[in-house]
Amino acid sequence: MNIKDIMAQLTSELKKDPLEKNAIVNNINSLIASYNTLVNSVKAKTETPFSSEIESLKKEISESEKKYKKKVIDLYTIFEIAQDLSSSLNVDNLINTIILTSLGHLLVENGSIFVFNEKTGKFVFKQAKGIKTGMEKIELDSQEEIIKFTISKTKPFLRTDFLTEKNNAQYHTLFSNLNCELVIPFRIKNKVNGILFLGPKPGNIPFSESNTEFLTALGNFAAIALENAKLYTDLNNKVRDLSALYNISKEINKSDDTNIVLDLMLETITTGFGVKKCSLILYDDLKNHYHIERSHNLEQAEAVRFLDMILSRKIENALDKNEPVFIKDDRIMKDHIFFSIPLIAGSKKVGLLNIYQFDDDIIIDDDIKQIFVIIASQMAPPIVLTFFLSKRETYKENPFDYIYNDIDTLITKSRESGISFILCRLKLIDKEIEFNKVKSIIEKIKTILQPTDSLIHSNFNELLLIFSVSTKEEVENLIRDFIQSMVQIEKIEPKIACYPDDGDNVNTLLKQLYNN
Amino acid sequence: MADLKIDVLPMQGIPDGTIIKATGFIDTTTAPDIEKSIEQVFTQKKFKIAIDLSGVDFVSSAGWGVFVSEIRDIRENKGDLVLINMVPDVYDVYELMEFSAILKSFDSIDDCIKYFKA
Repeated sequence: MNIKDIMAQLTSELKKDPLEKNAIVNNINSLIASYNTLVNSVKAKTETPFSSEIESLKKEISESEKKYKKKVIDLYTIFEIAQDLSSSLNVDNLINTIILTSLGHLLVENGSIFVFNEKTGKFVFKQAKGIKTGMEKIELDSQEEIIKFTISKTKPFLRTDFLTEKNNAQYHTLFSNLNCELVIPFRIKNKVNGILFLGPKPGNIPFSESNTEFLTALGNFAAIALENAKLYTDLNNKVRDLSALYNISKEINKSDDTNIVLDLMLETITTGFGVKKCSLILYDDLKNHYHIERSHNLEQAEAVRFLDMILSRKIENALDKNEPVFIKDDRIMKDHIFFSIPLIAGSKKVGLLNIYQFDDDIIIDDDIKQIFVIIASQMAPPIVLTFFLSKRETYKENPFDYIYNDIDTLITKSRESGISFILCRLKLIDKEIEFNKVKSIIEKIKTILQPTDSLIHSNFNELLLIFSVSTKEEVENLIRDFIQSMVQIEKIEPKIACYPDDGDNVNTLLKQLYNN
Repeated sequence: MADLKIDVLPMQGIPDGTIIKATGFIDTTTAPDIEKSIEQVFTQKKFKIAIDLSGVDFVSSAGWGVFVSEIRDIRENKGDLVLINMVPDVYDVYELMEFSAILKSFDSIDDCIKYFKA
């Protein structure tokens, strides 16, 4: 019997004569019982033995779907960050990206990054999110236990993993200040160039294996990006330094004026290269001594004290060999250095560039020393050139001033002693006269002079010699032989004036020497 | 990825409230812009912040990271940061990654205002 039949019969029973109500009620009850039996049998058919399994499968499929969707998001995030990190060379932006992505992807409230500084050998604080400031001064040396432990790990590790091994109060404080739960090394090849200290997840939910895999990949990409950024910064610095050197060279070679050139040099190294205290010392080869030509931020007494250091044999020997000298000893000079760089042009000793202090943010390493050796090599030639050019100009304007006093002094001494002397001027004529030629003439002439004779003046145009004991004839012969040996110069014209025979005062003698 | 446009608007009825309406994509490139906007709102001592994401089609992990990183400071100043009007794609990620454990969301500005008034 089905429900339709039951309902039809029920309807028919209800239409019957109510006097037969007992029979009707009995029949209806019987129909209701049939109805219930029918309903129960239908229910039994729908509740199959597999329905709970089906429900369980549905739940599993839903969980897996969620897991795979999260995995897709993981992979997408890795792809996005890899793309971003490989296209940026700005360290601050890179670090910002790494922290924000870590926090957002793992639902962590705070993170901080330390980056390795090759110059200091320490991991220095770079940036943090979600925690109070005050971390800026924290530096972690490579030899610290936390760093050695981090370097030994290829994957992220929990704070408890480290503290179980090295239960040190100092590190409890560090982890507490950083609110760190997980440490992620940025590993490239066999070194670690950065560390991410990540806070806990909400409700202290443990980090899953999937989280750890994600962070390992992130750490690897971060390491590569930081390495690239560092190389780019180093390259930029080298280019900047070379440009600066080029600009120095260009500027100081623009002027013929020694004073302007010296001022430009000093200004360039103090404003462009972080030099705080220095002096420019020139060497007088005729008198064989150093004098301070320019100083920056030095007291007179300081300058003289530093100059005295140069005269110590050890330093002078090094300088003679064109080797820079670098001394840092607080016992000798507190808070100062002694960095002396020879200024050499060709083989001529021009002077020294001495640096005593740099700006606080300059790290004095081999790179900076090398830069100053290069700067010094650019400085020496213009100093020599402008010095010679200025002497030449001075003599053209007033050729007598420079030597006037010297000759006057000689005359006074000769009068007192009754001894005569001979002045010899050698006029140098050559279309291509230049420093090395003049230098070789001077060197050669010094070899033929007696100890009582001397070269009292020289420039690109002339030499002026004094002969104290020779006769005029002897001097003439000597000079003639000398001129004949000087084949590298077009012409040398000698002029001789004898005291007192040709004149007993400066003007007369000079007139004799300079008359054509 | 497109640029991000940010508008900072007052929150009606909440004197120390602000709505930061974003339009575009919030990813690693543009996340710092949102961060800067939130920090500027801090300087004005407004700590009841609603981020209106009705015009945002995508938020990357870096974007979520901005919201998560600011939440502690905001709550320490008796405020909150909530998200409103997320589009379905963004909301799916919000749900999937369980951001609701930290960040509240509302379907409308009115609901958000009611929350801040309460």
